[in-house]
Amino acid sequence: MNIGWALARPPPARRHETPPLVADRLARSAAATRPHMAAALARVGEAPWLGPLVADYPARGGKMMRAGLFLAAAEACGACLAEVLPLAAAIELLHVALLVHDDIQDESLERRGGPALHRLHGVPLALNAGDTLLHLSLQPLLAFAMRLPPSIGQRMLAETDRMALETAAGQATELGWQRDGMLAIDEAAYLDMVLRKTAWMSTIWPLRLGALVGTVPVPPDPERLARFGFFLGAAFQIQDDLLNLVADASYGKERGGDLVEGKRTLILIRLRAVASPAERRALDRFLALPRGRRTPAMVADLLALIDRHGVAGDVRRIAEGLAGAALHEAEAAFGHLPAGEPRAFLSGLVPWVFERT
Amino acid sequence: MSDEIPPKDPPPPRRRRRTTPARTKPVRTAWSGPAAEDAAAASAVPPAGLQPADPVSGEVERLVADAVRVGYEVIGDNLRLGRAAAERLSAGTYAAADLPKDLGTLAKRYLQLLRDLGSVSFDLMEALLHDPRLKSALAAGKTAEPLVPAQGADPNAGAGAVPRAVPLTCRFTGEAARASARPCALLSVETPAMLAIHALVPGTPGSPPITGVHFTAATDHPGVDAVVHIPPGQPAGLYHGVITEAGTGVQLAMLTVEIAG
Repeated sequence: MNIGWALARPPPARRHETPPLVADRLARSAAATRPHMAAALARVGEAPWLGPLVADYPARGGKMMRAGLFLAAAEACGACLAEVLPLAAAIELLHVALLVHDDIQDESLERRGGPALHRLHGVPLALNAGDTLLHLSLQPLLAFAMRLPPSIGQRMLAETDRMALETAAGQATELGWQRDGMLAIDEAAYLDMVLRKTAWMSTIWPLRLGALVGTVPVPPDPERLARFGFFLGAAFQIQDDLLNLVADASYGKERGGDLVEGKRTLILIRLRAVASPAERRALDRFLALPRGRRTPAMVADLLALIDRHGVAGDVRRIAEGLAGAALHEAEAAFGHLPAGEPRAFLSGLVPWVFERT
Repeated sequence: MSDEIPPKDPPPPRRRRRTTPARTKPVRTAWSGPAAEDAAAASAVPPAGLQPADPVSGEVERLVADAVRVGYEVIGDNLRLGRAAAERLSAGTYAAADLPKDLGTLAKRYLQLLRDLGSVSFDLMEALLHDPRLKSALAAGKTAEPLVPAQGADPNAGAGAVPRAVPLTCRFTGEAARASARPCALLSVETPAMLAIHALVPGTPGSPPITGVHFTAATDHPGVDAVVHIPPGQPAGLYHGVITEAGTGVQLAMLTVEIAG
């Protein structure tokens, strides 16, 4: 079993690695956003069974890629960063809220290096904390929208409305596949699910909000931003699925958790495509089991099968192909704006997706 | 005629052969993508930033190209749906005079959507809806008042333009000698307000936050004093905290304190 090695080995010569400014700017974006998150969380204060819960995941760290993406898009489009930081906090708070809900829905064991919130406090309290985080993300968003010119404020809320609906639809699709034992899922269906579940919230929405709050006379085309966000988000999600196979302490979630949960990842879709009929039948039997009956030994067998067929390598190359399209679309979306750190960061995030742990 | 066997023709020069190329057909991968939808199969040169991890087989090459092509189809379909929805929204009923009302409608719709996403903390929703600015914006025919001055605007411009700034002075207790504050001003609010600050959080994770902060009305100068207690041994660095209007959570200023080493 060497799948861990296969995925963890250093990649061969690349023309360009992630520019150092990506990690540096991510850290600066996170540091600037954190006080605004703390201010929003403080509205709940020390309310028993609530205050400590809503503050838990934010205190565990996180790279705040979504806030960084928003701030870079906003700065590239001429926005004053100090003025838009509350929006970055709103984006991160909404992300954290969805993490709490995701962990409940997926019955996840770990998050950001610790037990998932519902395992610490039970589902009812964790669910309530997730709902509260959703509401806390609203205030800065609405306050900001209200002081913009009405046409811009209306577009900001419309973008948010669209994102929320797409995200809910994508999440429903993934959960529905699992609940109903769907097996015949192809790459197109998978990418459509990723577009809705992951990309709209994590990349497309932050990029488009960033462009909306900017001041440049010709902002990036929203459809180009959606394409960039989709390909970046898809590469990010696929890499996340791959990292789940080799998870270590820095990943923050349990190793092979996606397999235990029966998630329909591109890895499983590809495995079904290349497996022998007997292997496919065994895989389908595994996926038909209730989660509680999927044993560690079965997961180990599945990991060995993935390794034997070289599935992780194939899927990684697909993710790299999608990343190539993301780079192309980033240039198409932002190429007309002045070069500088924000633009370099946006492009630099693409290779960063593969280097994060 | 000589009996001698004529010498053989000199051997022809050794034929030069090119090495057999590793590939047997043009390499077309998804790495270069020059133009949107047909980017999947263009040239062998990856764009700056990435290169395939290993030489790819024809099968994997096709797999990658297909994935990118399918990706463009998926996002294209999604955007078409969005365009159609936008066209329906904008057909006929939108007028500039209606925009503030539409803004309120959208805000209400978003609140409703979040309400539907899970069980609701109604008290938080209530607090949000009691934000006087939000209420005024949600009222039909009204436009929300700006919360912060526009860039370059005079913060002390006449009434009705933008809120006036209130001077904020920082005083330190505890290890006061190590502390200094960045100048800042509070955005004034329309009605008497309680100021709140949760804590001054470190710019880099790891250090404990500074929690001993309270506000008093200044007695010997205009404005408000923030009194910050610096605990012994507080690690050096920058600490930031957002000052809000208690109750509504409207953000009024960012307080930044630097602790020297």
